[in-house]
Amino acid sequence: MNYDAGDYAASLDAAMAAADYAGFAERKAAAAKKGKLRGIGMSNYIEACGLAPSAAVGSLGAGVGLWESAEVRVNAAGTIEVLTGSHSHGQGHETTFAQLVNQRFGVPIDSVSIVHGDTDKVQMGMGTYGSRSGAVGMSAVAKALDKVEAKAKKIAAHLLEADEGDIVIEDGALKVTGTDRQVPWFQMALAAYTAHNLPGGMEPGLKETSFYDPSNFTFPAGCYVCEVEIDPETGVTEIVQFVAADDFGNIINPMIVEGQVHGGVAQGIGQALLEGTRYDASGQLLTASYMDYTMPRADDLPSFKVSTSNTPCPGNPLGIKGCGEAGAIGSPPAVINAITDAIGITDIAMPASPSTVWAAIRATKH
Amino acid sequence: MSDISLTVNGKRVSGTAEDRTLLVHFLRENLGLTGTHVGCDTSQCGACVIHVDGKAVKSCTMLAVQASGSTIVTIEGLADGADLHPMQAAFKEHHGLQCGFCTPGMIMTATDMVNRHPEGLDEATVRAELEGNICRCTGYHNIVKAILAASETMSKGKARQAA
Ligand code: FES
Ligand code: FES
Repeated sequence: MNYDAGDYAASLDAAMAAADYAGFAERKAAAAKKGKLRGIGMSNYIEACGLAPSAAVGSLGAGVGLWESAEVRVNAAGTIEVLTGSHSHGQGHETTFAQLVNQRFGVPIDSVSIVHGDTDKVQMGMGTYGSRSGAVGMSAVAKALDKVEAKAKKIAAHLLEADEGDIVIEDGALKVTGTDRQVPWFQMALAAYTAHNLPGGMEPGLKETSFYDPSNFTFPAGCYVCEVEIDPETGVTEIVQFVAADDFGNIINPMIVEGQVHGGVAQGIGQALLEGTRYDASGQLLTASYMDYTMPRADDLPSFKVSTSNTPCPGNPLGIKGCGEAGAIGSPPAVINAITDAIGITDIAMPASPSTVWAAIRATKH
Repeated sequence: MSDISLTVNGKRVSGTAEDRTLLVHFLRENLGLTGTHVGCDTSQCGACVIHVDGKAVKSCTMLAVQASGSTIVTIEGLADGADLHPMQAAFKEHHGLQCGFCTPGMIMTATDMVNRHPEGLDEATVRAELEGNICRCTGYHNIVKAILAASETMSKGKARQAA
């Protein structure tokens, strides 16, 4: 297993610029005038995602293989159903997977439906975690699309009496390159099912399945910068700015990717500042409801400055690294580094609640 | 047991429920309006927010009998046929939801917030007033964006109506 590709310096530069790192000293001095302790913290992370080569996890004792599978059914009317083993519970597979098909064949996005989470229909899947739906699940879809494309081109070449190698797919049609001869996507699909005029020996229909087993993990990486202001009288920490710059490889839908980062960053800030389970001496959980367990709320957080760079991942056909965990990985160290910087200490326990921070400030005075 | 009658999403409805039945359970179980969610039933998460007589209320924190005689709007009553309410449209446009669990409560809270602030909203106000609604997915970033955008559209709509 090797770190494959990434522009780590690009993330660092982007984060420092977005955070105006150079202007920090001035901001710290201004905060001091208001009686606040201002600190800045950075974290550079790299993680292993896109789980995972089955042989590799097998050698580590896993009981399953971590491939994904997909089936692409082009119906006679030209609509396309994609059955995926990856499941969506808010990650937007219905959108991004459909975008992939749209980009590939130029068919309207509304004509693509994504079927997931139904074990009566979908053969198998290993789950949505470890940022594997894009890197592994969509790679399986991409491989099935390759097979569909190959057969579709054969059918179109036959219908257009052209060479298969001269067929290109553009704007929802299969065209003979360099000419105006073409057959619309839905007509080719209908021809596959009427089977009145197919190349000799070809099976009717247009439906393909693929399994994809990754050859490597993927390695998203990035740089996060957090700036805090602490009220030394109360120990309350305010996040005054938060910057995330990630290299996620190729991205299908930037809006969804940013949403994943936002949620992860909020969770990481929660972990660093607020969220903690407490037990009493007898082992009774004291933080068993939202009355006692502090989830971050909107007024605990700022809006985030998020950007990405896109070094394609060489390990999968789509060049995707994944983005699901990054926010929650990069943010806790950045927050804690900002707090320790503000107080002038080297360590503080999470969650750095107001009482913990207040005690740490007091300790520096003795 | 008590008889309960109220107006929900413009329709007169009635039913019988135990006195201890929470309004949210009455809506979900007796009326089948499962768009209103239960995230905690301890008044913390805001997934159950609906409008009772024009005000945002956590429906897990009110007994069904207490609501008898009142006029209720739930998330199911917000859209105008196939046309989304401007707040729903803004959540869609700005990707203000991921898993969608918090969304009905967020949208009901947000429409109430816009109604209470005819002068307009800023980010700090939106964040402060979202205090009663928890989201685990979005980090609130796009929810705040959606509410600010919808607040603009809704006030423009009002101005048009007045003109
Ligand atoms: S269910 Fe009512 S506030 Fe959580
Ligand atoms: S969108 Fe999942 S909890 Fe808010």
